[in-house]
Amino acid sequence: MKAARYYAHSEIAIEIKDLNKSFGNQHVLINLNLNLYKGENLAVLGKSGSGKSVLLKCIVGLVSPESGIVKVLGKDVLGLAQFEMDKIRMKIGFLFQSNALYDSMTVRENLEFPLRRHGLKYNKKEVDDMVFESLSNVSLPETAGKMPAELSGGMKKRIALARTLMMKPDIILYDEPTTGLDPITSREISNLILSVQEKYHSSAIIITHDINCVKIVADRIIMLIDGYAYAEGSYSELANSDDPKIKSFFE
Amino acid sequence: MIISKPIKDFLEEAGALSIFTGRFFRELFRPRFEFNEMLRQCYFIGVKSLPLVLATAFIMGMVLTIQSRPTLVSFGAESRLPQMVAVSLVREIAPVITALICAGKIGSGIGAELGSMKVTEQIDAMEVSGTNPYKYLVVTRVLATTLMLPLLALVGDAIGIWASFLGANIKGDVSWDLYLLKSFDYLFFIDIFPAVLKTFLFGFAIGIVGCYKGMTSQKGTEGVGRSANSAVVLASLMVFVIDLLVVQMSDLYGIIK
Ligand SMILES: Nc1ncnc2c1ncn2[C@@H]1O[C@H](COP(=O)(O)OP(=O)(O)OP(=O)(O)O)[C@@H](O)[C@H]1O
Ligand SMILES: [Mg+2]
Repeated sequence: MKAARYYAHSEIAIEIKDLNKSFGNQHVLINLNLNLYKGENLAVLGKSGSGKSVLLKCIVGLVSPESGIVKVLGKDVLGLAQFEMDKIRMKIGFLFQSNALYDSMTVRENLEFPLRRHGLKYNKKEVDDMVFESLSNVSLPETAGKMPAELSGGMKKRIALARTLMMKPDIILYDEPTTGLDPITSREISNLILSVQEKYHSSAIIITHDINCVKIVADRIIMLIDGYAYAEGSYSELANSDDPKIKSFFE
Repeated sequence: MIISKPIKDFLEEAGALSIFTGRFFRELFRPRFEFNEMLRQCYFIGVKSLPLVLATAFIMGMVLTIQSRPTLVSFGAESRLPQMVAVSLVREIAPVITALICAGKIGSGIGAELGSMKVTEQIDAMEVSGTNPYKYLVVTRVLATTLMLPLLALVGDAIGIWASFLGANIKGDVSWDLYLLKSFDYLFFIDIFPAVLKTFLFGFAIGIVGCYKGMTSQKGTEGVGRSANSAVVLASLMVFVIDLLVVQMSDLYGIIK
């Protein structure tokens, strides 16, 4: 288990206040409050359909909530102009639940894609180095020429992670990084998340319901139940809770 | 007021498609033009549909000639065969056939491609990495179909006329030079203008409908299939509606002689 560190004294990377989001008359997020501190790995636990992906999409502006405040690195992102939003997005890495690799492009082109908006800022050699570094981070340097369809599920996940790491983001949002993988690969991915935190000093929100992953990566845990942050604490605090709603996750 | 559901659905769809088209024109003039991606799309559209366009235009040219000959012979107007075939090919058959083929091949391709990108969150991923997916995916594809359809239709015209020459020679004997000269006897710029104009419109409609259906695709493989399918149906319908409108207009303005 991770020796969780306490970050609440450092600066806030993401601040969410009273966030509300519903689809039709289905209320998914109800007055949700959440802070992510700089350097911290925050795990968000919740059962399927509880609105975890929606929460992450609110942070990057893919879903617009009805009310509430979302601040990323001190900047209010709701209602931001496209141009401003893109600047914030450059500081955020998003690992999609479905990987979202561009399946008409090779692995290399997938990794280079986030660099597009920087135009000619990088020369060929720099881009090659960045691609190689990213792929080495996930120990798949030989896959650059492959198409996503030729990769296994775990490899896809790792390539998606490599793409997320290309821009060395300050904040990384992982949406279920280990779901659907075997226990060994899951542990590898979890360790990868941990080493990213150490190497790049990034802050991260890790959405998951894989308790083993939480054990390895999390400094702090928030339980998303009934649309709001139901409980918060370290792994041992929550695991020893008497509340049946919390306990059921740790059995 | 009570409006029945199909009518309401239709109006809603028409509204959404109009808004989508409006957005196309807004994004079109925003900076960062994705020129390479557009060329790539032009290339794909050409490669995918050229063989089919060639085959159908060839067959239509030949069949039309063989079918028309007896009628013209009975009027003693066999020498008018090249003109008649050329006019119907260039004005109507090549543009519409090309458009229908592209609606089937390109429209469904775009619908399925963007649809599956949508449901696997690739479009979200693009947006998050700071590339406007509307510019990168939609604008490039719509421009590519709009530019490529006229070219394909012109190739169709040429192949159709050549096939018609072959068809005429099955039972007759005429030289290529003479046949070509005769074909162009009744073809004026004013004939070609509305014919080419409408191929631009066909291309635009096919691109927009394919992209619209793809970008609004519902979750799941079934949703992707449905958007590909409805893209073909709607695009083909639009082709005929546009054809009707353009023909009516050119008739009203006295362009058709
Ligand atoms: N675009 C949308 N339109 C309508 N409803 C949506 C949309 N996106 C999400 N929902 C609904 O919001 C709820 C939460 O969805 P979400 O994807 O956030 O769940 P999740 O917690 O990530 O679940 P999982 O663990 O299965 O990924 C679901 O009930 C879903 O039906
Ligand atoms: Mg989810």
